Amino acid sequence: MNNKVVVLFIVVVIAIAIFATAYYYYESIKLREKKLESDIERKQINEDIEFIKEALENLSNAFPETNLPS
Amino acid sequence: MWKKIIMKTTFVLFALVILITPSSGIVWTCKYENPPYGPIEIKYENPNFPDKGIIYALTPQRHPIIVPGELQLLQLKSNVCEEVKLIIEDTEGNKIAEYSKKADIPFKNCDIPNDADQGMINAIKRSKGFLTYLFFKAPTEEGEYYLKLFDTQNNLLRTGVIEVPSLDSIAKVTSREAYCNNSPTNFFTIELIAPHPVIVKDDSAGEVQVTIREPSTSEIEKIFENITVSFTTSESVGIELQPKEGITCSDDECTKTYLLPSSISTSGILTVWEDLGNGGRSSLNSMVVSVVDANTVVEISNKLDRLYNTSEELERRYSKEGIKEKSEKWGEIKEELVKIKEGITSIKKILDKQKLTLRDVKEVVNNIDNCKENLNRLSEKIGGIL
Repeated sequence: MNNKVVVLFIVVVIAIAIFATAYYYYESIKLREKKLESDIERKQINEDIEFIKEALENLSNAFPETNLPS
Repeated sequence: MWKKIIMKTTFVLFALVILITPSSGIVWTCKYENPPYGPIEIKYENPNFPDKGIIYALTPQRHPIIVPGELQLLQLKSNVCEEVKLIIEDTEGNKIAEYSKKADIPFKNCDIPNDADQGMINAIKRSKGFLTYLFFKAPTEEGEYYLKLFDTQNNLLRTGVIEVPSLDSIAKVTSREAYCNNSPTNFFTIELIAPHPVIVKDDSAGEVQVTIREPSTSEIEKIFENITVSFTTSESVGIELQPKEGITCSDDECTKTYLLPSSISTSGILTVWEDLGNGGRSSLNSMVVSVVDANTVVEISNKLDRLYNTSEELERRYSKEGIKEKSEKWGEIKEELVKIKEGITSIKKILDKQKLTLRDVKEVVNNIDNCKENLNRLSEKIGGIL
């Protein structure tokens, strides 16, 4: 009986250890990724995409799609 | 007998002079060109169906002129809500295309509600009638084409003619109006000419031209002194265009260039006004023009370069750290950016040309559409990894 409890305890401890290691590893990757993409870069990418979208829309205005009478 | 004839003729001539003498300004209309339908000429109207399939207007889509292979909108009105068939034929009677469409307004697809009584239907007939918006593609080959409209019983209702220009012709929009000046025999024409599109580059405005034809060039100068040109869009009340120095004259016609500035790409109406004094003015001629701000294309190109460099840098960083998935994704983003960049470079090259052909203009529009699609895809990809 006592042996079974000890085994179960060890299994639980190992499981917690594996989970903790995986979690730590996952978090460290995320942290590393975050460091690789700075906030400034991310902001600039989004701003550039938005700018191009608006500019292309603006160019399209020269060639309007439909001209249905009101 | 002869005395009577002479007296009658004198009276008729006198009445005519009274009727057509302008009360103010220098001109009055003796329009015989530019029918109100747009670029379509009505050749035949079936007398048995005077109120069916009436051609109300032809409006080219995306361009102010008919461009081969591009979408056109034919607006029809009728006193009957039914399907109309359009057959496009070349001058040798070969069928090029066929379209069918039921009326759109006031009931979409002629789905007349059950509670609509005869009174309501009669009121619709009395007002605008049933309107049909029929979209069709202009033939791709240059030439003259017949647009034949039929009802559901295959009765020919109307025939219109359109002229499809060559894709290699210079892309320009023109509108000509004819007027009388002081005597009915003294006609002059006022023509608006603009490249399609009008291109605004760096700090230089786009250019449009007004040409006046008249027997006497001294009269033309007087007319130029009395006219102004404006450009109005749906967003702006209208700007007055400044004339460039000097008038170019040859034989019986003179041309003056006006500057069209714009900080945005847009489509609007160019109008030549006659100054009537006391702040009043009347429109002599007008047409729709497209304006493209070429600076926008340069700015897009610069932003794309910056995005490309950033994605290349991120791809390198992730690859170095061994984060393969993200490195690959930034690699894919880089490829998408190359596609958009190619489209923008092509637009830039075309807009740098002195004179654009219709083929060039089509390519510009196609490239804008493709760039928009590619950018949406790119935006989704970036959103997924940022």
